Amino acid sequence: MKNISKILAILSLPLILSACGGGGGSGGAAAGGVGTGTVTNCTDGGGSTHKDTEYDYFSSVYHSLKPLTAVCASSAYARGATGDGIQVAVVDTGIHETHTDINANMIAYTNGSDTVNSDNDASDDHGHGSHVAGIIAAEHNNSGGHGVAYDAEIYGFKALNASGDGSDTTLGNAFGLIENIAAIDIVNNSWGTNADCTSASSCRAGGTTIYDNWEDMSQLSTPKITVFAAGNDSEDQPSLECQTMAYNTDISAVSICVVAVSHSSLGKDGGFLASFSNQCGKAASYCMAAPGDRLLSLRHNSNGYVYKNGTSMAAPMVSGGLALVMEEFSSLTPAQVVSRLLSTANDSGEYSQTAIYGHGMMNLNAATAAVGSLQTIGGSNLLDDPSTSYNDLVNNTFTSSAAFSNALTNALAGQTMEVYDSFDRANFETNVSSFFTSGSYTSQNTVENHMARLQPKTMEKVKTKNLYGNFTVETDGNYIESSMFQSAGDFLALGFNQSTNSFENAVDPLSGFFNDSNFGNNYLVNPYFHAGSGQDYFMSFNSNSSFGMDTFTNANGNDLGLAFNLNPLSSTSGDAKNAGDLQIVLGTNYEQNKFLNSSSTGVFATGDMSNTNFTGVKYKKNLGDDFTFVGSGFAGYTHIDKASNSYIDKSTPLLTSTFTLGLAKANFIKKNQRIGFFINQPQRVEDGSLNLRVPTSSDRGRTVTYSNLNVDLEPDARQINFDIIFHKAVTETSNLSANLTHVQNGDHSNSSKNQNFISLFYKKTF
Amino acid sequence: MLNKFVIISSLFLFSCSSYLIQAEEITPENLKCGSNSGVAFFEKNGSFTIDDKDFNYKLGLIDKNLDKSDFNFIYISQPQSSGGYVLEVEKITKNKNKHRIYFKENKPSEGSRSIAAITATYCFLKIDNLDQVVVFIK
Repeated sequence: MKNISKILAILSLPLILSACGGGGGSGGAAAGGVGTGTVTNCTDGGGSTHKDTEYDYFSSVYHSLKPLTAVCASSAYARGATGDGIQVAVVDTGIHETHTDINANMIAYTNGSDTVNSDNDASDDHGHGSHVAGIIAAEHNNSGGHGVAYDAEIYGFKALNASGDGSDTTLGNAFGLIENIAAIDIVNNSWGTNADCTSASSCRAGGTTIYDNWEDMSQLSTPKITVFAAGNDSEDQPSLECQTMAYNTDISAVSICVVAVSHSSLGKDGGFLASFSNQCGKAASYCMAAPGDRLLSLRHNSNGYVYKNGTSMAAPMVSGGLALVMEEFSSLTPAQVVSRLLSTANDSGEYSQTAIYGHGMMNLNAATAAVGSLQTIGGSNLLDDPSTSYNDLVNNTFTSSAAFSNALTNALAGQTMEVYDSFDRANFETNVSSFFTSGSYTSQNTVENHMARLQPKTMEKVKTKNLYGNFTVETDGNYIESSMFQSAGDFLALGFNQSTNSFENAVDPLSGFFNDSNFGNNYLVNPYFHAGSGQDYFMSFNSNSSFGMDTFTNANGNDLGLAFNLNPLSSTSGDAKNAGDLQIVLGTNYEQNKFLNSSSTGVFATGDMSNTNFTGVKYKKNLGDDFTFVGSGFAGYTHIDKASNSYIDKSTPLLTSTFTLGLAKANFIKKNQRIGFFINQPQRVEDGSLNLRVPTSSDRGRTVTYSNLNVDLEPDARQINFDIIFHKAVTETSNLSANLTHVQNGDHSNSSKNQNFISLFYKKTF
Repeated sequence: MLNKFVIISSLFLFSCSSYLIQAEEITPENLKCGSNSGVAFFEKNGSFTIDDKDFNYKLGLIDKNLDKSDFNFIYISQPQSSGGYVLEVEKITKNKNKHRIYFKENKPSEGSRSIAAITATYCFLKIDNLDQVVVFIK
């Protein structure tokens, strides 16, 4: 009998072997198929420069097989996303809650969290749940690896027994508990049913408690996001739970099915669908891929680590990714978090095969970066209101006057506000100061400008005619003065780019020195008429009488200025009568979308009727011995006009000041030499503030909260310029000029270094 | 394919052996069965006796606190696509110095929900006077 049995055994062997020859090969896609495309890696934005205070994200804590590299997690970390504040429920075999690499992220077990044994102890008696939890949120603590969302918090539920098996009751009841815990944001399910369904009712028939409670979770006002593993049967359709997503829109809006790719040699022979993984199949619209082959994570019975394979491991990669996106963008609803992660997946090359990979490979760099353009919100509290306006960042600017730029810079340092991308209004934090450009007085202290001040002006008179009569166009140096009427004493001028003024003209012996824009207009003549750009118009109607008038407008006519000049004193110098040795100025200046020459656009715009009332005193006296004293002082009172939807919410009037004192001497030592000494304070805000109301947070109800930022516009110092100028007519055809300038507290900032300039200019005409 | 082979060959041998061998049925002194999804645990699977260099390693992967003197034989099954599989010892027979261990691996029930990790079942046994071992699995 023994021999017979041996013979039968030997004879049956070929039959046994041949019977085993079929099967397999069910994983191929209809077109293309796994491995037919090129694996393209996502790009980590910062490369090896992505470091936090402790670790290089690419070091061993990223773990040697680099599943986090495959999804570009370091880019999300560099943007500050770590899962902090996000709570993830792990419905599994329980969790080793005291594992030293996750205990700090564990939420205490909730009542009834062990639905297998109907108690409150969701400890892990298998190992699977601990591994899954570690992939999501193992700590970033220089021990072992770390989870995708290493600051997320974990709720443990034991709904699968020690064999890794669960029932509709144990799993469904866990869903029922989770439904009632508002803090839980994401539910990871690294389990599934190897079955098919073809309608909502047939899917529900697969497990009514699971289905009903899952649907309930998805229909909450703040629904839970659920993540399911696709299963490991190498089939072209995923698990029953993933298929369910295709038949229930409430569920599919906040659910993701995850297939596994082999990441271990990404870029070489990996990156393709893992041999064991199911494909996305009919759940492709709600499906994506993540590394699931040989992932290192927590053991359940020690503080050690273990490698595991499966879509069970890919699912928590995605749960962790969702936690990062959710933390990063507080403005997104759970459905938008899901949509964003799916929409930003890498779907090129191999991953373009939708039936296999769904939306493609998870890409946490793209998911946490702006999609579309970044925009400011136009003052509304509602992100999705049809009337809410948005504006690309480049269209929101504020160029401040140097009269208060120092104060503004100091006040805005470290202040942040929100902007939103055009894809789904995901909120991004940006520095308020990024929209602001500081005006600067000191930046005008260039070599070119100093030389231009010293250059003697040559007069080339060209007579022309126009339709209205004769007048003279004088080409003076590099600019044009066009005068309708001009006389030495009775002064009436219409000018283009003309900073002439009777008072300035009369300041001998260095009138040419004042003709430059800084000293000629901004400091001495009228600091509230912002002429000098080359596009401004200035009219001066002054005479040696007791009354005169200056007007000003810019090229587009948006700014208008008017000043009345009272001349209680006047004198005669040679044949020329001066308009006034003492001039009292009263005026006003209207600026459209500006104030104090600070221009702004977009959400920082000001209205078209900001106005400054100003007064000034200008005084000139010949002291004898060729000495001339000159001085001026101005004070202004500016009302800022608020624009609708502007972040410049309100302001107090701004009090400003400027002054110039000078002493000039002709015939200095020699007849052909002149010298002057001047002290000047450029325009400065002495008092006043404005209130910026900027968006600083937004919530999943799509509501924006604004915060007030009160900015005191008085700078922390006072800029004083000291100027010495010397001029010598060497011969009739040659001149030598020299200038020494010393600037203290440039731009009214006590942190500015003193500036010193020495300029020499020699010119000989041949 | 290999699973089919194991199952079919086991059935064949199992049915033949019942009348070929007059053996004594014994009970193991210690028995611990379960499932594990650690790659290191199941990458090398099959039978391990106490003389194998991997014996203690496999034991430690399940529980470092297991007393190694409590077991002298390990069987780790071929990995499956999910959890939910349960390995049990149907019977152990002894004929002279040869032990025959008959395992049965139960699949998850139809429509059951199981962890989606590659998983292998295992049993650790302690059998008195263990010498030669033949494993049968169905």
